[in-house]
This record gives sequence, structure tokens and C-alpha cells, in this order.
Amino acid sequence: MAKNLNKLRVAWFSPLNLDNAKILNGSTAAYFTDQILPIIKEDLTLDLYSDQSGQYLGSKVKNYLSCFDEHRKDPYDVIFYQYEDSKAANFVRLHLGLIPGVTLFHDLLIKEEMPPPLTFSVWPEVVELFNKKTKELPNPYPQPDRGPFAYREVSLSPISLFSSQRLCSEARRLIQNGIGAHSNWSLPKMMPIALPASLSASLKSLNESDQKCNQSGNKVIAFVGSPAIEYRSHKILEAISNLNNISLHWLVDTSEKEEAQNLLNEYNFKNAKLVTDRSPLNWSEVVSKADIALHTLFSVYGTPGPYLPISFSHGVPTIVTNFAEGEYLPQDLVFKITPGDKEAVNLRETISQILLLPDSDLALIKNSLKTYAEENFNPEIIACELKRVFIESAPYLKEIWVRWNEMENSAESKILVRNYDHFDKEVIGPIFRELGWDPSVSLKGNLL
Amino acid sequence: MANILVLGVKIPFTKGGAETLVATLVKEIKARGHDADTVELPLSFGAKEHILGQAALWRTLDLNAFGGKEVDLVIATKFPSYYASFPKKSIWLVHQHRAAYDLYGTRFSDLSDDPRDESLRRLITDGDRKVLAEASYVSGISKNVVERINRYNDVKGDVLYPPLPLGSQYRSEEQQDYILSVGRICSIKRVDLIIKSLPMIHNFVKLKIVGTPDEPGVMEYYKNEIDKHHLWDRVEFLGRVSDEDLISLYANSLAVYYAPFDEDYGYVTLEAFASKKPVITANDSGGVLEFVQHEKNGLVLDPTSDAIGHGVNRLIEDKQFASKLGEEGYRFIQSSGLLEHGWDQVIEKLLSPLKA
Repeated sequence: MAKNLNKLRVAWFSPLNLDNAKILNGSTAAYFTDQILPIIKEDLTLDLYSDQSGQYLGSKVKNYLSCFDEHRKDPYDVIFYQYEDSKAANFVRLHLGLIPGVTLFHDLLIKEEMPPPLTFSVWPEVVELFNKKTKELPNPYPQPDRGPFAYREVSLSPISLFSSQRLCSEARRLIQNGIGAHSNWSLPKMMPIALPASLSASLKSLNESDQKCNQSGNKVIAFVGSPAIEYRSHKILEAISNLNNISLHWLVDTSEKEEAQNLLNEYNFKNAKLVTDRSPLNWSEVVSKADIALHTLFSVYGTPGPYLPISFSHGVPTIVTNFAEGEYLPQDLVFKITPGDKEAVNLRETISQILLLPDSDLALIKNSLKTYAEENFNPEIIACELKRVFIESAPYLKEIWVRWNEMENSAESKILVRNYDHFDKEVIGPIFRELGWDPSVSLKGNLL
Repeated sequence: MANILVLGVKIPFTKGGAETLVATLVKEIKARGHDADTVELPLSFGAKEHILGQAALWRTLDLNAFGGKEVDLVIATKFPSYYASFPKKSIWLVHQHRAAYDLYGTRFSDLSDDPRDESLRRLITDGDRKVLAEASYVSGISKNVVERINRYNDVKGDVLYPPLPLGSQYRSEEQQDYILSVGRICSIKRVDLIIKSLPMIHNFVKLKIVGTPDEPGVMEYYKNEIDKHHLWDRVEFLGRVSDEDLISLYANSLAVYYAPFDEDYGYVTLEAFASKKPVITANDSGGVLEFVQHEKNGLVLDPTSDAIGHGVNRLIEDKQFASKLGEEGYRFIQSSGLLEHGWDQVIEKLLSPLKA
């Protein structure tokens, strides 16, 4: 296909919900791609990279390790990564250290699917070398991976985006010395970008949910989260076990269903429906029929992910924990619960209060949530924002890559020279040249 | 009659499936009236960048004639033997330098995001692409291997499963209370998973391990695990054994444990089936999964000691179930063409460049 000279050429790295494949539950990156890529793809010349084989939106997905060659032959304008706390994104983590690019972080503190350390990684020294703070990489290659993982990932990303305000603030505070740190670039090197929630689908379900609530005698409380303590399911059950005419619709991972059922039994709460496969799509379905949405994560790790924007877009009154991500939400938008001794009592009172609100107040809440969602989570707007980041990043990335290539070429020369030192140069020299392994070709810098 | 050289890669003091494959291939080619011999070069894993020089050395070899005989065809097998240059070159790929491909970024690869490592990885993949593409015929020993070259090097090939080296000599006898593990002893074969699962397996069950270590420190690690869990009388390292002893060990085992990470092929699976034994493997064991089906002819489990332990107990507690799985494996191997007669098709394909 002919290259469109007016379009940016972008390499898009993400776990993907491949065509005709099962949805990657728990992958915020795949969800983000699903929401944004169909909007943005017409404006860009895109290559999709993943460690999965298959098709996405009818296009062949390329293996992530082939990006390097493709970029060398025909450089991309932007390489875009998404990184998250999921095994599915492990290949992204690997490639971040191979070519710098624009990275969207959905997680900063990685714990759920702790990836194995990158054995022999020397990333702090690579950053130092890139920033011309040192002239040598350690030799031989002795260094294990060091420090919290996201230090490495953010350090190697000249432009970092965060799908959470809180993560962005923390990264700005904690990680100040990356490969973009010393440039005079005018665009911020760390900035938030929201997770999208499709409004048209939500508006449709909003009307349906009104009807369904009226048909059912019970009020529906929707909750997404694991039975693990940080999601506060035990507090929720304690809070609602004494309330009448309440149904709990609980979205859990399939693997957690048994544990969730045990917890329900422990609190003798009968009126619950467990919905498995914790995907944004399923949450949209569950929350669209709910009177209250619960996002009670109480943890220094993780974020509510796309589930919270989806609840907002459906206009469902939402209760959050006043901690971490919850602290960043407007006070008059959501109901906030402080974790601790009185958590269950406060939760019960808040639920009762919402359920007793007159229709006029509920309409106001729904309206403000909808407005907030329109302003913050509209996929069209987010796609435009992302495209603007790409356009503004492209010249900056070119600068970064010039320096990066110097470093790579110097590394390559070093490897080839070591072979010439070890083997008979007269014997292997012609073969190296035939195979294109020629130090005289690649020797463009002498950083190492 | 043609003169054919089979190119093998020798890692001195170790023996695995690749060495068996080369020896058996030469024997089977000769049995069909051709003259065949092996050419082997050692491969050392010292400084990792020297892998390039070692690959280049294959390309310096003049393989055209020996002892007055002109060579008609070479058959390359394992990395870097396929770097040899010859007008008629068949490749029956055992595996590439996997650290640069599917193992990249795992604990089984010594390549990292160091710019020197990335350059090395790129040079290897560039070189592989060139030398694989120049071959007259390309095949691999499993779907897994062929999919890798297609995926990473954009080279297509046929799948030619290696028939069993000992053909139909395998047999089945009365089950004894041991699990058998066969193969090189190295971290990627993950024998440690079953060693660590032994404390939860019924204590009358033993583990017999056939094979020699080919990785520094791996035996010390295993022995530490054995000490830690007080398993001295439950784990037996048998080292390298004769063919007859191996057949007997298979014949009397309760089941065969074979759960390497993303294996290329693995004779062990098919040897177990030929001995009517179920295979306990892992859901990330690669080529093994081309044959083992969960609860049909083996158990496909999570690669954790916990899952392996429970799986083994299941077979011990229901020996009829274990036998049923073994019988199903045997039916599969009988119908697969992977006993001796399977060689006809393999050799016909590998020798196809001679007809051109």
C-alpha cells in the first residue's frame, strides 16, 4: 500500500482483543485500543505490534520483535506503547528498552502480574549513557534488574502518558531522571490522558436501565472487584446485609467466583448475582442496570481502570473510597467513603441515602455524571488528544532517536570488534561482510 | 545414490535429542542406499557475542568434496549449522538460537535490553533470515519450530516430525510407583517443578531422572531442593542410561513427567506414548502440546509445583485412569506414522533438492 505522506506513521504496541478471539479480561490497554484505534486509525498510517498472532480490525498484527527492523528500514514518526499490570503487556515492557517512544501507563506500581526481572538489564547505566553522564556501560553484563519496575519503564520513555491523574502526579514526583529529562522540549514529558467510555452505548442503556429498575422490586447495587481485601467486598457485604430490597450484581474474574461465593455465604447474603469475566464490556452491561455503582478500591496499587468512567457514562450514582484515585475525583460528583472502623456503617448510610433521594435529585446526579463523562471520557476527544500528542512528539522523538542510534551503532561495533579480536579476522571477515555484520558499516559513534 | 552430509552441532560432554536425531538420520539415509556422514562443529556458550563468529565459521567450511566423493546435498539441523553455504541445502530445523527469539525477555535468555544485547539479537535475526532463505528446502521438527521461523524470519517450511529412534522396541509392563523424567538437566526443562512438588505427592512415589546436566549450577540447585524437602530417598538421578535400560524405565513407570518451557518437539512425549504411559506436561510446554491432550493421553497443567503435585496424585489414586491415558497415547503413536516407517516421508522431503 502506498505510504500517505500527510499521515503520521505510528507503531502501536498493545495487548489486543484480536478479531474472533476471546477478550483479554483485565487488560486496560486492550480496552483503550478498542475504544480509540477505530477513531484514530483513519488519520494515521498504523502498524500494530503484539506478541499475539492474528488479525485486529482486519489488519495483520506484526510480531513485536520485528519492529526494530521495520523502524530501521523505514523509520516511524512515533512509536506508541501501552503498559499495564498484566502478563499480556510483558512484551511491551521488553520493547520499551529497545526503542524509546510515547508510553501510556495504565499502572505505575506493578504487582498483580509481577513480571520476572529482566536478567542482565543495565537500564540505569543506559539512561546515564544516553544523558552523557557516563562513557561506559558495565562490562561484562552483570546487573540484575533494579528498583521498582516502573522506574525503568518511565525512565526509558521520553514522553509518558498516564491514564490516571494520581499516577501522573506520583511519576512526576518520583521519577525525574529519564532519557527525556535533560531536553529543552516545550511539551510536558509527563501528562495524564483519560480512559475513554463510549457515550452513545451508555445513553442507550441509560433509558433501558430506568425501565428495568422500575420493573424489578429490588434496587440493584453493582460492584466490580476481586474478593481480595483491598476491594472491600467484606465491607460492602457487611453494609448491605441488613438492608432490605437490595440486589448485589458483582462482576468478578472467573477464577475468583468460588471465593466470592464463599464470602457471600459467610455474610449470609442471598440476593446476589455473580457475573464472571471481569471485562469493561461486561461491566457496562452490569452497571447499566444498576441504581448504585461501587468502586471501593483501597490500595496503594492499581487503579479503578476503565470501570469507573463506564459507571459515570451510564450516569449511575457512584460510591468510591476516599483514598488514592478516589481522592482525585470532584467532591460533588461522587460519594466518598473513608476506609477504617466505620467504613461499613458509612457505606450503609450512603447507600440508604442515595436510594431515598427524590427523582429530581437523582436526575441532577445523573446529569452531572453524564456531563463529567462527556467532558472527560469522550473517546472522540481522547483520540484527538492522543493524535495531538503524536504530532507534537514526532520531532522530539526524532532527536531522541538520533542519540539512541548513536548508542546502538556504537554497541553493535563493539560486538563485532570483539568477534574480530577473538576469531581470525582474515577467516571470518569476508563472511561478516557477506552477512552484513560489518563494523566498518555500523561504526558511526564511539560512545562505549 | 547420493552423497549426503548431515550437519550437526556438538556441545561436548552433553547428549540430547538433537544428537540422537542426527545419528538416526544418517543411519536411515544409509539404509536407503545413499552414502551419508555427519559434519559437526562444537558450540560454546562463553562470551555471548562470540556466537556470531561461531556461526560464521560454518560458512567458511568447504563441503564440496571429501575423499574423492563429491557431496550432493547437505542437511542442516540446529543453530548455527544452517549458516553453512552449499548449492543444495536442506534444513531440518531443530531450533534456532532461541535466546534471540521466543526466549527473549524470559529467565531462559541471557539477552536483555542492554544496547549491546539488542544489537546482538538483531544481528542474529538478520543473519538467520539470510541463510534460511537461501536453502533449497526448509522444514522443522515440529509445528512450534516452523511457526517460529515463519513468525520471526518470514520463512515458510514443512513440519517433519522425527520418528522415534528406537522404533517399535518400546513396551509396557506393570506400573511401579515412580514417575520418570527424561532429558537434559537444565533450567528450561523444569525438572525442579516436579522435585518441588514431591512433598505433596504420596510419599511412596519416587522420581527417577534420566539425563545429564548441561548447565552450570543446576545440579547444586536441585540437590539443595532435595535437601530442603528431605527427599533423599525419593529422587534418583540415573545419569545417561543404555537404550535397553531406558526402554525398561519407561515400561515400568506410572507416568512420564515432561514439562519443559516451550519445547521444540521432545522425543520423550512419544517415547512415553509408545510405552503406553501418560505424559504430565504444562500448558506452556510448546511442541509437547502438539501431542498431549488433557485427560485424553496425559495431563496438561499449570507450570507450578502445586498443579503438578495434584496431577501426579490424581494418577496415583486412580491407576486405571493412568492406564487409560497411556493406552490412548499408544493408539495415537501407532496411527501417527512416527514409528520406523515414518522415516520414508522425512527422507523423501529432505532429499527433494536432489531432484531439482
